[in-house]
Amino acid sequence: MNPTALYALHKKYDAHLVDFAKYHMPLYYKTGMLEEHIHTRKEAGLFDVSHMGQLLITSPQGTNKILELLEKLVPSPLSSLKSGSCRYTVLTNENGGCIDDLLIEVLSEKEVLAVLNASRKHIDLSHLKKMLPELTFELINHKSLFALQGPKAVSILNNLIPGVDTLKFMHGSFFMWQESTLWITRSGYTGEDGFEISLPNALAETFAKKLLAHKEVALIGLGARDSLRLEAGLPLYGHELNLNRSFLEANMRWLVGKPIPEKLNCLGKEYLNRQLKDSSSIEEKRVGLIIKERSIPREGYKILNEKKVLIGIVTSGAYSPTLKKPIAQGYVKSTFAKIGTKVYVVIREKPVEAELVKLPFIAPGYAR
Amino acid sequence: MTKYFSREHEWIEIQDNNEALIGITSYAIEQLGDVVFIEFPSPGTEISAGKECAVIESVKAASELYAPMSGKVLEKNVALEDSPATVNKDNSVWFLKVQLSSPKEVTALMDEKTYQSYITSLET
Repeated sequence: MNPTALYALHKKYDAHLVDFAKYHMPLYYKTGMLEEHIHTRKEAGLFDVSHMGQLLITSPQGTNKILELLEKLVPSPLSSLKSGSCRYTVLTNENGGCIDDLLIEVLSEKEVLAVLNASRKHIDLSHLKKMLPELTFELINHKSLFALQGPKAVSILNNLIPGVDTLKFMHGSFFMWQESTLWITRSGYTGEDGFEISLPNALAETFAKKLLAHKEVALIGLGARDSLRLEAGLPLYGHELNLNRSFLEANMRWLVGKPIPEKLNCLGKEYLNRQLKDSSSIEEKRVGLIIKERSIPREGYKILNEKKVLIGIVTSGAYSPTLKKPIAQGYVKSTFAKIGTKVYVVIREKPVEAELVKLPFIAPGYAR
Repeated sequence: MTKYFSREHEWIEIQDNNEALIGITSYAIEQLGDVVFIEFPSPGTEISAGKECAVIESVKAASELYAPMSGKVLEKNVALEDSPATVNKDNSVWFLKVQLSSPKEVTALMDEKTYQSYITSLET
């Protein structure tokens, strides 16, 4: 098990630590997940996400070449990205499924950073090395990754690092702090305005303490991170995304950019192009569900139609602290995927009424 | 009133006329995290020692409440239906009031001192 650079600090703040993707990670702290969730929506939450993969990609021919090559492995246009741009996309496999979802961030004319899921980073690395031997890949272990999320994030971070408030959503830049270089992007996984900060491990605790000195900042664990992203309608790899589901089934056609291309050229293109051209060939779609009673839907629970026939499955479920109702994401047969459809989720053998709703569950606070 | 404890971290407080209150210990609450919903049995339901009698839904998972002793449900704590989070604030809050059918079952439970050493053994 690997501790992150904030291990001692997590302990000090009474973190309930769990083993997650070979890291000791905080699931929640003293106040618990509900409080942490609400705090992030109202104030600012500090997340240690150093378990995620920070993959540095370089080439003697520079960024344009890197992006051109990476485009073979993702369904999104990358060649138009300038220094400082970030793009969320997926690595597709030959069947059109997803190897991982990731952020591609253009650091400079020479370097690109890919931010990967902790549980997938080594698989992604072997895939990328095999498919693109022309490029050099390095998983950076000497840097930590923090997320500062919530409506107060911008004023607090700008206090420490003047200028971060000028970053636009899904853009990043280098900033100096205590004679070290930090890579900061305006992005996140909570549906709130906020930042992700990549910084040297040696600086991690000092920097976290500086942030925590603000009364609006609280440490937030992975538990609340999950309920926050669920409300924000964002997929989680291993739940809504996996090797057997395409991003089009996950309702993320927007990944292909605008205008919508005639054809994709990434891995799995045969399967994906059929779904792109004819959406009626998509058999199952990702949906949001609001449960009409108070029992909580959990991963793997069955979804039935009005006639109590099986039409799908829950992939993530939780109590939504914002809506004060149980919510879920799941997949249902496309013929039943219309917003407003009345369905049932089977909870402890009892069909509980639910409604299919548009994602996200909350209005995002992104600084667009 | 004396409280007795089960290995599954329920407590039972036996009152007059073989009526008893059932709740869960701080240890259980700590493990559950924030409680968001409790599915109670209806009054009149027969419950039996060691068998599931309610479901506690927390932010983490759904967990069973096992009946520490057998009996018939007289009352559920309706206040917990509206504010299940009370459980996280007060470990003396009761879930169910039952009419015990086999009071002798109490001998299978632990007293407070034994339960405390049981907890300590789990934590080490």
